[in-house]
Parts: sequence; C-alpha cells; structure tokens
Amino acid sequence: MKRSPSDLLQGSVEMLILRALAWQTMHGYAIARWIASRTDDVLSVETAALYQALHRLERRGLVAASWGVSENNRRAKYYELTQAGRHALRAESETWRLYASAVARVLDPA
Amino acid sequence: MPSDRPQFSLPSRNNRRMQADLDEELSFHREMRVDDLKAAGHSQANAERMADDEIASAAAARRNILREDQGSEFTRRRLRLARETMEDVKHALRSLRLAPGMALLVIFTLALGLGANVAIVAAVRSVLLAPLPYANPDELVSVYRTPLNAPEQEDAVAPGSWQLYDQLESFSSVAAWMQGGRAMDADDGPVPLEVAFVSSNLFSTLGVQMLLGRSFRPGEDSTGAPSVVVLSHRTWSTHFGSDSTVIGRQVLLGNNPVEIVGVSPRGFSLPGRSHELYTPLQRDALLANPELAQKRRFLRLVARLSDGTGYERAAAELQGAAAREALDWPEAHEGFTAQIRPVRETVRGGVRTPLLMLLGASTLVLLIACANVAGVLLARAIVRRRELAIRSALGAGRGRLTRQLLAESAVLAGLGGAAGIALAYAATAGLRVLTNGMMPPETTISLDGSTVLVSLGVVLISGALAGAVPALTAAGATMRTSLMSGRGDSADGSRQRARAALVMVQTAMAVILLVGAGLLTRTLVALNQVDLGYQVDGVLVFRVSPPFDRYPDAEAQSAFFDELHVRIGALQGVQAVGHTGIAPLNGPPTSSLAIDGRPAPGARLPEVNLGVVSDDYFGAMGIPLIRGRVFGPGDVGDAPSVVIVNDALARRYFPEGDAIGSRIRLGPDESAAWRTIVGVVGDTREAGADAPAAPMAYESSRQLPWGSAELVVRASGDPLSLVPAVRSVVRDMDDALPLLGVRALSDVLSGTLAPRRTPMVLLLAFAGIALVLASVGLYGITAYHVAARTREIGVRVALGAARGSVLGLVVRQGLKATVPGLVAGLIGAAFLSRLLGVLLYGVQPLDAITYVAVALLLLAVSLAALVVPARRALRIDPLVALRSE
Repeated sequence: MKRSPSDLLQGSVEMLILRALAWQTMHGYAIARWIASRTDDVLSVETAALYQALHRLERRGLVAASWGVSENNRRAKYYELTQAGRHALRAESETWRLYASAVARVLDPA
Repeated sequence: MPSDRPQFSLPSRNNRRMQADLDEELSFHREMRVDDLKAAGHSQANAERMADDEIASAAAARRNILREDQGSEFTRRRLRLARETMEDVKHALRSLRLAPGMALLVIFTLALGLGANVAIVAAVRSVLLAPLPYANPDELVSVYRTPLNAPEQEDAVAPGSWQLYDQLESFSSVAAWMQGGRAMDADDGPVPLEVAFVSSNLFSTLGVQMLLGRSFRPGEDSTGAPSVVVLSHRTWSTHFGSDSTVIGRQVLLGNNPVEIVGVSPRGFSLPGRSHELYTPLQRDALLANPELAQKRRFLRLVARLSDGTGYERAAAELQGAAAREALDWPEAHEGFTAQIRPVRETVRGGVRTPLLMLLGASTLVLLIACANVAGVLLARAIVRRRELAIRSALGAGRGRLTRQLLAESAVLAGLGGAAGIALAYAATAGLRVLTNGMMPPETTISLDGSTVLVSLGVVLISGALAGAVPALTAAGATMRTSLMSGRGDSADGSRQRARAALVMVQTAMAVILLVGAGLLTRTLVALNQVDLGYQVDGVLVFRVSPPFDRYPDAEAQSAFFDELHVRIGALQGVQAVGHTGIAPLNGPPTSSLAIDGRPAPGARLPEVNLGVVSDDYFGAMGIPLIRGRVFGPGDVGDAPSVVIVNDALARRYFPEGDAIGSRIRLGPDESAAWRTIVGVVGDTREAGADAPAAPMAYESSRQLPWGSAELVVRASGDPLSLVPAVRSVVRDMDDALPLLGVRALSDVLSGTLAPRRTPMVLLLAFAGIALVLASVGLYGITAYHVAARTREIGVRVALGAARGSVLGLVVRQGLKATVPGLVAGLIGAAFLSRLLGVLLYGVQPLDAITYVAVALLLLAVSLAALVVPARRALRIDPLVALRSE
C-alpha cells in the first residue's frame, strides 16, 4: 500500500479520531482535547482537519452523529463509533503499528 | 437513534439544514476553546482572538465539508429511493401473486390493446412515414391525363403530350415509363420479368443513385442505341446471386442481347409499381408518327418541379399546355386536361385512408383496454380498503401507500406492456402477410426500436395513471372510514359511478368500432355479390407472346393460337380455352367509337372498352351471348370485318335494338374499314367488382392479331394445378416462349378486393376485442353491484319479491351503463363513419341495417355479460343475506 505524506496525515487523524471514540461518545472539541492530552500535546489536530475527517468518517459510516447536550449545557454534535468504525479502527491500528515500527527501525537501527 | 444500518438512517436533511448543523458545530467548538483558554488565564478578548485564529482554517474548510456532505446525502437519498422502489416492486409482485386472476386479466387486456395498436403504429411508420426512395420527393409529381368531367380518373399520357410537357418551365425534367413484360435469360435460366420501359432521364429525375454501375445515359432511349438494362435489387439478388460483377454482362431479353449496366438500390420502385428490370423505351419511335404520338396513350409521367415552383403554378401551366393540345388535336385531347399530384400521394394515397382508419380504431381499442384496466384497479382498490386501512393504521404513510399502489399498477402495466410488445411483434408479422395486396411496392412493415420504446413508455405512464386515481382515493379514504364501516360508504359510491362511466365510454367506443366493421363487412358482401358478368372461379390466365419475327402475320399468329387451344383443350381437367388481348381485372384498353351513318356527337368520339378475343373466349369465360353470333374461324383478315358489342354498348348507342347489322369503327384511324356488329354479349365488369360495366366492343383476334394474348383456361378443378401441363404444351410448341403472368383469375379478383378486405378483417378483429373488453367491464361492474346489494336483495326476496323483479333489478343496473354508451356510440359512429367514405361500396355510412344490427348485438352481448351476476342474485338465500352483516 503506497501512501503520500498527506494521506498519511489524513489517515492518522482519522485513526486517532476512531481511537478516541473507541472509549466513549464525544463531540468534536472533546476529541481534539483527548488527542492532545493523550499525546502530551505532541500531536495536535488542526481544527479544519479534525472536522473534515469527522464528516468524512460520518459519510463513510464509520462514525455516527447525533445532537446532544454538552457538559456546559450547550447543544453539541456527538460522534460515536459504529460497528464498521470498530472494524476499521482494528485494521488501521494494525497497519499503523507496522508502519510506526518500520519507521522506528529505519531511524534507530539498533 | 443513530446507527449504521441503512434502514434506520437519519431522516434526510436538506442543504440548509446541513449548513446550519455544521455552523452550530463549529461555533460550539469555538466557545469551548474560549472557555478553556480563559481557564488557562487568558483574558476574554485574548481567548477569543486565539480561538478565532485556530478556527480560521476550519472556516475555509467549511465549504468543502458542506459540499461533500451534500453530495453524499444526495447519493444516499437516491439509493434509498431505489431501494424503496425495489421493495415496492417486490411487494407489488407478491400482492399480484395473491390475485392471479385479476393480474392476468389486466396483463392480457393491456397486451391485446397495446399489441394491436403498436402493430398498426408500426405499419403507419413503415408505410406512411418512411422516406420515399427518391431525392427531395416533395418536388416530384405524377403527371396524368384526366377527363374534364371525371377529374378523379388518372389516365396514361400520349408520347406527344410528354414532349410538350417536358418543355414547360414548371418542370425541371419530365420522365416517362411504360409497362411491359419480357423473358430474360438470367443466371438460373429464362425467367419472365416485369419490365418497365423508361426514358433515359427517369432515374436522374427521381434522383436515384444506382447501387452498382450506372443508370441510363441521355440518348440511350432512341432507336439504334445499344441495348442496356438496369436490374432491380430483387432481380439482382434472386436471379444473379447478388453478384457484383454482373455489370457489363450480356443477357438475352426477349431474344435480344442486352448489356447490364446497373442495379437499382434496395427498396427502390417506380411510383406505385414495382418492376424487376428497367430498360430504355425508344423515344423517337414513339414520336415517329405524329398522329399516333397524340392518340396512343400508354405513358406514365413523373416530373420534378423546377426550383421554387409551387403545385398550383405547375398545374396551371400544365393545364394551359393541355388546352393548347386540345386545340391542336381535338380528336385526341378534347374533353381532357392534364393534372399533377404529388408522387407521395401516388405511392401512398391508396393506403392512407385505411391505415389512418385502422390507427384510429386500434387507438380506440387501446383506450378501451386502459378503461378496463382502470375499472379493474378501481374495483381492486375497493376490495382492498381494509388491507390498506390496516397498513395505514400500522403507520404506513399516505405517500408510501400511494406509491405502493402506483408501483402495483406500474408493475401490471410493465408486464402488460412486455406481453403487448411480444404480441405486437407477432401482429406485425401477421399484418405483413395480411396487407400484402394493399401496401405500396417495396414497403415492409417492421417494428422498429423507437416505436417499441415509445409505446412501452406510453403504456407505463397510462397504466400508472390508470392506477393513480384509485390509489389516491383509496389511500385517502381508507383511514377514516373503512375500519368502521362494513361496505358501501360514500367514497365507494363515487368509485362505482366512475366505473359505470368507464363502462359507458367503453361501450360507446366498441359501438363505433362495430359500426365501422359492420359497414366494411357489408361493403365486402356487396362486392362479392356483384355479378361480374364472367366466370372467375377455376379460370387460369397466362400470357404468351409469339414474336412477330417468327409468327409474322395474322395467319401465323392464328395458326399458333388455334393449335395451342386444341392442345390445351385436350388436357385432363380443362373445360374450355380462349384468349383475349388483356384479361379482365387488368383494366382494358379503350378505343374511340364511330357509328356509320351517324354524325359524331360533338367533336370528340365516345370512348369504349376494347377487347380482342378468340372465337371461344366468350364460352370459356362464361359471358352469355344475347343476340347474334360469336366469332368463328371464318372471321379472318380478308373476310368482312366484324365486331361484337356488349349489352351496355348496344343499349346506349343502339337504343332501338338495331345494333346487329349496324357498322361501327374502332380507333382513330379514319381509313380503317367499318366493322359490322354480328353479336351482342353480356356486360362484364372489366376493372373489378366496384367499377360498373362499361360499353365494350370486341374484335376477333383473327382480324386484329396483337402478337401477344392472355390465354384463359377454364378448369374443372384447381386452375393452378394445370400450370405444369400447360407449360409443357407451350414448350412443345415453341420452347422459346415463356408463360408470363400465370395466375388464377380468382386470385386476381381477391387481390383487387384486398384493399377493402384487409381493413375490414382488421377492423372486425378490433371491434371483436372491443366488444369482449366492454362486456368484461360490464360484467365486473354488475357483479360488484350484485355483491354489494346482497342484503337488499335478500330483504326483497324475504318480503316476497318475484324472481322477475330481482332479475329486473340486476339487468336495469347493468343497462344503466350500457344503454347511454350504446346511444353515444351510435351517434359517434354516425359522425365518424363518413370518414370511411371511399372504403365503402354499395352501403351508406348511415346504413340502418348495420346500426340496428350493432345495437342488437351489443344488447345481446351485454345481457350475456349480465347472466352470471344475475343468476347469482337469484340464488341469494334471504336468510343468509340478512345474517351476512
């Protein structure tokens, strides 16, 4: 499977979102916060990229959206993982791990 | 609840809604961010600025997101529509399987109506709408001679007239052709061929490119030019195996070597007549004798109008020329003029009326079929009230229910349409055979894809519409009433009235078709009862042409024919033999008639039919001798010139009964001898049953040898079974003589009736279908009434009503729809039958017998359709009826 850098970026954002949603239903802002906190702010997702990815995942049926009420009592759009999303997350994580370890072996051939 | 299972996907969102959602989502993000930043110690203004910076990129992406969301929403909506449609269709098929009788009735009805209609549309397209095989056919006109007092007659033109008309400015060129028959040595042996002798400019006037080789060159239509021929496409393929090397080959045509120079394209024919071979006529020979060039008329002319010349101007110029001719040659042209008509009409004029009549008739059949289907679907909607009500109560939306009902009728229409198209293919093949004798030459009725598609579209739409009204009313009315009421609510009443109206309309249309069919049938009966004046059954006709180079004079010709008569007469199964110049039903030649001792009535002599016959012709044809004698072996060339006339001539020109012994002269030649009338024979209808017998004079073939004659052989059995024996007799006598135009006279007669019989047969079929469909409709509505009034009838019977009054109730109910339909139909027929005008013979468009017979037939069939429901009504047991609800 060949990937261009932007694909990689896109693919990794999507994977991170799926990963975030694997735990719980979240709105977009919470997903961004979750990613930032889980990577100790190493990875932060551009707001534009985040929502583009979310909508793309929704169109592909990997996440489903519904309107709910947020922790501060505001109407917010919540995303949850669908069955298809769970399968995708498993497959993507596997690919990502292979990729990451390959990159690591190249950069750090110990 | 959101889920990835498509059946429960979010309700569709429109574009505005999607945009609002996205905006709200992004502004929520911004607020959360501002809150977080403030919590981290930023001031409100700072926090907002930082959040806006971060969001700015998202705002730019917003449009992309929106566009993609909307695109995918659109796709999803279409997918859902397709899925629901599939479900509707599946559901429709399932519910139709539960009512197979109804489904089959509808499919069969639609198939009948559509099949008939599509086949006729195909015929109209192939015959009336197909392009003529000529370049710019609208510029082409037939030019013909016509009596001033009988402008509908189209006569052939004299060569001199052709020369004159060719110089008119209105025409860029005028081409001529004449009919002839010759034998040709083809690759597969000698064959008799229909030959057209044509002027060299014929093909260029028509604007026809040869398929192979060339057409004729100027000058090839003069004596001494090399003999050349153009083969028709069919001759080329039948007799030369479509061999492209035939060009330049020599063949023998009537014993003369000729060179094949071209092959005409497929589908080409001269206007109104097809030929197998074209060869130039000899223009200069036709014009050699100035007098004969005016008096002998045998050319058919076709002209191309000059650029920008209209029909009126051309006709006016032509008539001016005809008037000059009449002054120059009064004995040839006085009382006549010339006329043009579009070649399109020459080719198709004869079939337009019957075809359009059939198109109208088949459209009525289709409408009746649609009305029937609508009636059945209405009934079904009533029957299914409860089912629909339950489904509606269980949450099916009105739109969805309507769509399902529509799907059901569309599925029915689709199945009916498919069956109809299949039927149309069969019907087209049948039509091709049936219309063989009446269609223009070189036309084939075929069903093309666009006709099929258009009619399928029409039937789908009309089928769906036929289902739409019941569907809409059913889906609307059901919820309110059906679960509460047993049967017979007010919506049912209006639906019943709708059905009654449908039956009424059907009846009216069926009556119109029946009247039309009845009138045409009466026409054919009248024509078949016409006494032609000669025998048709068992008569074999064929032409032999002993050439003058081997049979040079009257004696040799007579000797040949006498011998031929003896030999054929000796054959098993032959009752009598004779011959004539032109056999009946071909249209006889005419000749002017002068009477000795009487001044000509006006400048011009009267025209009478002319026959040149053998001694035994009258006996062989069964033409009775009324007075005097027939010809005998003594009437040879140097014996006194004799002539026989028919009764019509004797009565018109010798009203005193003094015909026999009087002397007449036939033909324009004033130096010819007077001929003494020696016999009067019965009248004959030479041109067919629908043309009255005209005055006719007969000369003896011994005194006027033609070098060609049509043998008439009366057989005791099937005349065509004699052909091999007759052929071998002729071959024994002269093996270079082919038998031309071999035919049974009864087939010829039948052929002349084909243009009337074919429309009649088809119209009868349509009327029959219409009658059946209308009675089915009537049956349906009556059966429903009986069922709906079971209780009422039960009460009546319980209260002592007689069987008669119950029967009367049912019959009255049925006739309520039929009788107004019948009356409307009769009135409609009275108007429409006038359009049949030219197709009728011996019967008036308002023929009382036909109208009464149709009315009686319709009433009888209607009563038959009422019998079953009426008997059911009589069997109603009052106790059961009263308990039933």
